[in-house]
Amino acid sequence: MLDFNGVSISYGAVRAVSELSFAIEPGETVALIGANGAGKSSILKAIMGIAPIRHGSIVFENGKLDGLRTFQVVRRGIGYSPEGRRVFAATSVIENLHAGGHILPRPQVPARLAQVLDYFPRLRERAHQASGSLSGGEQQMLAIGRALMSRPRLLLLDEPTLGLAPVMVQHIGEVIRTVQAAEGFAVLVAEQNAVWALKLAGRGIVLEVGHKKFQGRSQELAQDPVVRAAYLGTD
Amino acid sequence: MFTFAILSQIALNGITLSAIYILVALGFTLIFGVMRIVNFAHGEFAMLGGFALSFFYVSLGLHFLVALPIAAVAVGAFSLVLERVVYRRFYQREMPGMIASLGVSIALMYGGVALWGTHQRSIPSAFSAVYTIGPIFVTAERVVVIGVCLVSLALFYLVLRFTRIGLAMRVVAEDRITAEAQGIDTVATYRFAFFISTAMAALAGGLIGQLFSLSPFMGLMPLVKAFIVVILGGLGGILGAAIGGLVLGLGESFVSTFYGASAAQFISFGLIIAILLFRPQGLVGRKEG
Repeated sequence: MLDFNGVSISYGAVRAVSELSFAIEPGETVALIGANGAGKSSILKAIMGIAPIRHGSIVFENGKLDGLRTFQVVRRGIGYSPEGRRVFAATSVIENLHAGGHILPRPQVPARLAQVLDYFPRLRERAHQASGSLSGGEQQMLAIGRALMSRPRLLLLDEPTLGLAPVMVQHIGEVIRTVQAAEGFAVLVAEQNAVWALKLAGRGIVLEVGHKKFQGRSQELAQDPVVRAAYLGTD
Repeated sequence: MFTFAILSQIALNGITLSAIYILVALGFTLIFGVMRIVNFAHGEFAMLGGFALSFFYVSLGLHFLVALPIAAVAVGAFSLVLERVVYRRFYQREMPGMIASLGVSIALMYGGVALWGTHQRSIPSAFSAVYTIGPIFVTAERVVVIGVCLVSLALFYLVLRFTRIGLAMRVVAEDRITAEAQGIDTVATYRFAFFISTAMAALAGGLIGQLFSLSPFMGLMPLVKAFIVVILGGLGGILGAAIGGLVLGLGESFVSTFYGASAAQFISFGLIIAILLFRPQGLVGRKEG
């Protein structure tokens, strides 16, 4: 459903990603793993039209995404939970979710809101609090819930476990799996926590300074001695 | 000297001024909050509102309360041309935006001189009734000014708080890129905020024209008042603008009654300098992060 064809991304003279190609099938989960600066975030930003691409093209469900503005990418059916969560701190939890549902027809918003709050009961307890007052884990739930509001067919998660307690990391993984099983969207997750990401994803792509170093099924990557040593922090 | 009658009369005059100041300041602070533009031409949109009101009310003979909103919408619509041609290029760039809007301000001011000349003109009073409530006199004109301001402030609040476009403006003000990643068309949101802002300025300009007089140079006063209100109340909030506007309007009214208009100007600017020195976030504002 998503085709990344020979895409290069540069910031000024600095090249973040070089001629990268990969594809995502409907309903599957793909993990982008690699160290800081490997280009994971840039790939998600390029899909969202936030980072400009220099070469190649990005195709989603037979339509080109490159050249679209970010809000138009969302309208094509892609949800995005940014790195650092970036909840609207001064607005309430409910209003953050409403913002996430901006593209839904108005009559559909209340039902979708109820559904998302069912996925994240903790957010329901905090519904009317300013989002800036939530804990890191709650803000991460809010960022994901907000991305889910638009009923995406592809969900992009940028570093969803960054800075979270282990219990919360595990909980977030469970919720993503549950919701995905219910709704059937595909997930592309960029994550430094490779162990967690490979458990969540069916396939993984290992990046190193903007290049694809390895790719394969998650179990194979998790057992590959080179990957284990370099990215899983084991052996 | 401080009889109840005199004090309430002064307070009433002060509240009329406050209402206009709040209207001007809210539009000013909206544009700054959403697109980070310090719009030096804000007062000129008020000036255009005054002349537009004069056109619809005096020249076309429409009812005052019909002509006023039409004038505001007309100025708002005209301002979108400038938004397209000038302002849009300067969003999120405070310094260049300030200089550009200063250019727009001067261009509009002298455009006004070319069109309408430099002599002051007045808008004939639309309401001549005078009511007496106990010892104080209330002109219908002031009732209309306060009423129009209250209705527009209430509408502004309701739109910002309870509508989809209102939420869009608030989240775009907080984090433009993340707002866009929710599917919000930030360019359209900017355009809407710009329209609301200049239309509110134009509304205030019409009321100023009605209470005082019209001239192409009349925009300076509302701009300066907007600055003072914003410094008093802190940037961004409705509450801050309301408090800032009330403090300024009432203060001016009292001081100018007892010590003359120049004393009022002196004290309001003296107060501003004191606040900038000792409480730069405004009376109710929080420090910017």
